[in-house]
Amino acid sequence: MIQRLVVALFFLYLLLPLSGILGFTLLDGGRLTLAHYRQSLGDGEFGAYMAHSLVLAAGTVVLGVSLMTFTTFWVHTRARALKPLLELTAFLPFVVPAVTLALGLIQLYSHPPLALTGTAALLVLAYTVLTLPFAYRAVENGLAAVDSRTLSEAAQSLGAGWWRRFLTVIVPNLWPGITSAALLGFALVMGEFTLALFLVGSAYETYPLYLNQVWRTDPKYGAALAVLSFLITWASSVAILWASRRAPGQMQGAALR
Amino acid sequence: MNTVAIRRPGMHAARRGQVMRLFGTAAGLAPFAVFVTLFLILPVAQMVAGAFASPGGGAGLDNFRRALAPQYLEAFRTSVALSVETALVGAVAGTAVAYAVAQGELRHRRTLVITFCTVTSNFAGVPLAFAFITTLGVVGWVTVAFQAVFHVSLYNDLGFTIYSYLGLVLVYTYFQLPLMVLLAVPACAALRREWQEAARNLGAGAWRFWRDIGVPVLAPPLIGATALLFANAFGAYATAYSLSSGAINLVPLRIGTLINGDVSFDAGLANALGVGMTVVIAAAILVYQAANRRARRWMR
Repeated sequence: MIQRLVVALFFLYLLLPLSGILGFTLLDGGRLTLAHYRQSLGDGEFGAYMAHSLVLAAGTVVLGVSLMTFTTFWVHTRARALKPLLELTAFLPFVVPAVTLALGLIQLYSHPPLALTGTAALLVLAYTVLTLPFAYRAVENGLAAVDSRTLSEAAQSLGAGWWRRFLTVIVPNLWPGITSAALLGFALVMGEFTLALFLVGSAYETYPLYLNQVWRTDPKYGAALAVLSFLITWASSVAILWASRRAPGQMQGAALR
Repeated sequence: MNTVAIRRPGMHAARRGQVMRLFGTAAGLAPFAVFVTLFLILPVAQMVAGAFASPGGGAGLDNFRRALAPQYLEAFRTSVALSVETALVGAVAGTAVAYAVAQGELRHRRTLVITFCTVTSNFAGVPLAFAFITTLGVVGWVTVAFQAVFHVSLYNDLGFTIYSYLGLVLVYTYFQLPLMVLLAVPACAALRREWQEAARNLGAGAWRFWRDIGVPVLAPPLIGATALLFANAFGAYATAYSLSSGAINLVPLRIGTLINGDVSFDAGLANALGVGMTVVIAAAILVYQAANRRARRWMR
């Protein structure tokens, strides 16, 4: 009985704020309306900044996943002794919060030879850093699960070179893990605020920055954009769960704070 | 060795092959190594070096001396308090939920709860702050309903505001709770029912079971999870940024003001605070890692 009560209160606490924001955006003077959501359809800025975020997400996912998949398999097959070092390095971003990463990047890349602040490129590179821990986990778990060594050696004995083994034997077997890592990366970029604020700001405004800006002048519309952000997170989380059912042992991405 | 190698072409070729192989291995690692160096190692190194640099040139502790000023010490105290409090609240409540779902009355609802937690643990930052403002803000429906039902105003009579330390505790707890459930469910599930039955058959009461088996098995993963929750809250920026409007003194917000402001720009001081923040988070992560190593014994 007490257990049921605890779980019920838990659900209540987590649903209450969502009820607030849904009510705020869906009700106008007691009447149900979708006007604040429809507002986004005619808002060119919204479209542009959403496109920015999608471009950043695509760039981050492609760069992060391919870099980590390639490197992890490379270490597995050609430099096994370096595995602990790779594991440690891929874990490091956990220890460096977004504000401190931004702090270091700003000082390094706001002047020549690499004047990158204010560019989408720097943001993609910084986001890629944040994806390393879970991209590594996904690939590593996948390699362990499919017995990559035996597979790779079997392919090698049939005459397949390294690239052929990597692309036609290993990558397809890692696909479930890669999918969930990609979805985690996508969710991360679509919600990330801190690095975007410090590294590019208005020079390449992202969707999270925009909803924060809209909130100050038009709270109802800003809140509607926030609900949209929740929906994106919700959809990616459900997709991640679905993907990781086929790739067990995934770690949760928790870099959105 | 060299002379021998020169005289014997076969060995020379073998060694050249070895060198080429090593070169090839290194070449495959180069993209990752270059990337991590440029965008992870160097930024952290820059922060550390900048923290130990003196404004007048050379190395020194000036930045750290300035970081020890009362307002920054206060920021560290507030950040630590906020992180400890929300980690503990999250840990206790999250463990209770996880236990009910893993072992207790609600085992048949495990998938539902885990799905719900996976989604809500990713609700954070600016949208989450908005959700709380529209619920518990001045005109939020809970605030309004509270006034209507109890004829007491949360804001005017009780002095509550969502833009306060207490407000931040409520919002941080929101993302700590489901994260704790996700971390604690496998830990609670590792406490196998057979053990409880075996202990009972051997004549152990509930108290003996918890003292000798339950607590020793559960303590390491739960302590580790609490440390992770602490780090999670300590590094958070976006949530605090959109709720505090500068009124709450937290370390990440201080760093943000120092690097973003025109008037207040002070990279040296920001670096010193950043080093302090990284040390605190690294300590929490080390606790998490150490506890996890012990916990893995019982988890499949």
